[in-house]
Amino acid sequence: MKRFVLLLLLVSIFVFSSYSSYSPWASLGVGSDVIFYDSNSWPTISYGIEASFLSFTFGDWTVSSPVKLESVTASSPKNGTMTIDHTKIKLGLGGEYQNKLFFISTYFYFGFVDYRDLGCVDKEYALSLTPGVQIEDHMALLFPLTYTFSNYYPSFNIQVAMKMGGKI
Amino acid sequence: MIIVLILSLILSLFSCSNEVIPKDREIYIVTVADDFYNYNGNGRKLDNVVTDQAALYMQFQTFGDIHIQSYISQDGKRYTSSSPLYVPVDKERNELERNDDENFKSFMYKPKNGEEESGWRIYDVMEYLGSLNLGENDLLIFSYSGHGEKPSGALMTKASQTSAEWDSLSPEELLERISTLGGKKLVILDSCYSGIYIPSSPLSSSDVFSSEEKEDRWIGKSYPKAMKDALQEKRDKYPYSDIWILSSTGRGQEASDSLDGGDGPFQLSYGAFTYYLLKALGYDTDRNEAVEADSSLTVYSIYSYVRKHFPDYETQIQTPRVSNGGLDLAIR
Repeated sequence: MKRFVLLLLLVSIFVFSSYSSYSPWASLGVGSDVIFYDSNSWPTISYGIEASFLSFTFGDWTVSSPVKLESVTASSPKNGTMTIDHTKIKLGLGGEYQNKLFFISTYFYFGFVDYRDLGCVDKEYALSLTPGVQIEDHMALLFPLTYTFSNYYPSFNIQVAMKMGGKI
Repeated sequence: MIIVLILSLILSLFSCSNEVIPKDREIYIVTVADDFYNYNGNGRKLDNVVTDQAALYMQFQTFGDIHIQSYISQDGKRYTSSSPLYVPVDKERNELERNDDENFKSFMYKPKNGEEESGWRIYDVMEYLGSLNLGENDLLIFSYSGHGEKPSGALMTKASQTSAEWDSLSPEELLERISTLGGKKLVILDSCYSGIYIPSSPLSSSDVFSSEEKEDRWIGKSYPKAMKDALQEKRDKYPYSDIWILSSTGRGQEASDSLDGGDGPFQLSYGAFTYYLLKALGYDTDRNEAVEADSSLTVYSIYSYVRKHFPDYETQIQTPRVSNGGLDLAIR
């Protein structure tokens, strides 16, 4: 079974690379994670970097599997309590559409969260929808909207991001 | 233009609430130290527990006006005080003029003129806790230095100075009593097996060591296992949303009453865990003096400091732990 999956993956990459353009990209983003915890919402600052080296473009459509590193700061205290600093590493899979003016993408992410001060690790899932505008052929201004499903810190994230890269 | 609008939105979100400590917060401190003096040869005497609680009390005083209730068992006498006085002494129990005298051995509780022993028992402590009326924003700090019963972690205090019996208070009894109080509560335990007080939480899955692995290291050094656990296990919600707990040990570990870590001239005068806890709180362990500071202090920043500075070799014996309730608590 494992061999079959590996073979399928290799064939897919071969087909993708034969009928598409290789289009690696990277983006930098900053914004806010609104964490829902203890019947309250806790706005925080979040920033991160995302890069995809597994990315193939067919015309206006692109399929990518990016890796994202994200840091979320502790929230402002409410009644003396606040959320905890944490960092995330996420692996995504999804697609993008872009023309000369507009950009839109949707991704599914699976990630591990490191609560740094405590030395604990948790898992999470996230769905993102990212509208944006093309500034140049290889540069876009994005507004990623992400909802994160987590036992611990479910959250809604809004960011401003710059994406660079695309068809080589 | 759009970026400016979004950044303005983010800033407005953060400006909604920026009060770190509630202005009307009252701080209640309850300290318990039992040195198990001359206990019929059973139970080792703890040389540093009174010094630990004295130093914590002095440092807590820098946080502003506090309500203090101290239960002290020292050299065969048991006192209860709401305004305790501690003096520096040498190893012959002679009073010293300065806290940083090179002959400093410990702090000693000094009864006021005419003050009599209270003969307190652990049940009196529980009764006092039950009598507290904490408001929503108030903070209670319960700090214990003494023996912990094997393997339950129950707090052990002598039933009397002459009795061969001791009283024990189970983790469930202590946490249930404290959970009935209002406000926010911080429980600090420097005692053997105190890791058992840390309740399960969604993050505990990665913070509990497997049976094959000795509980002898920080989880940060075993990330692959922590990630595997996070994938496989699901834990209950943390049961006490208003209680934070700092323990000196993990489950099944013993706490050291002193530690020669080479980290200062008076390290041997304090409990291994409390020494680093005091440093995290800002106490000057090289001069045995409380230090006032304005920098912010939270439960997890305290724990993070202890994690960073606690000697690695000592974690073979005890690994301090913290409860993972989801929210951090601002102390200062």
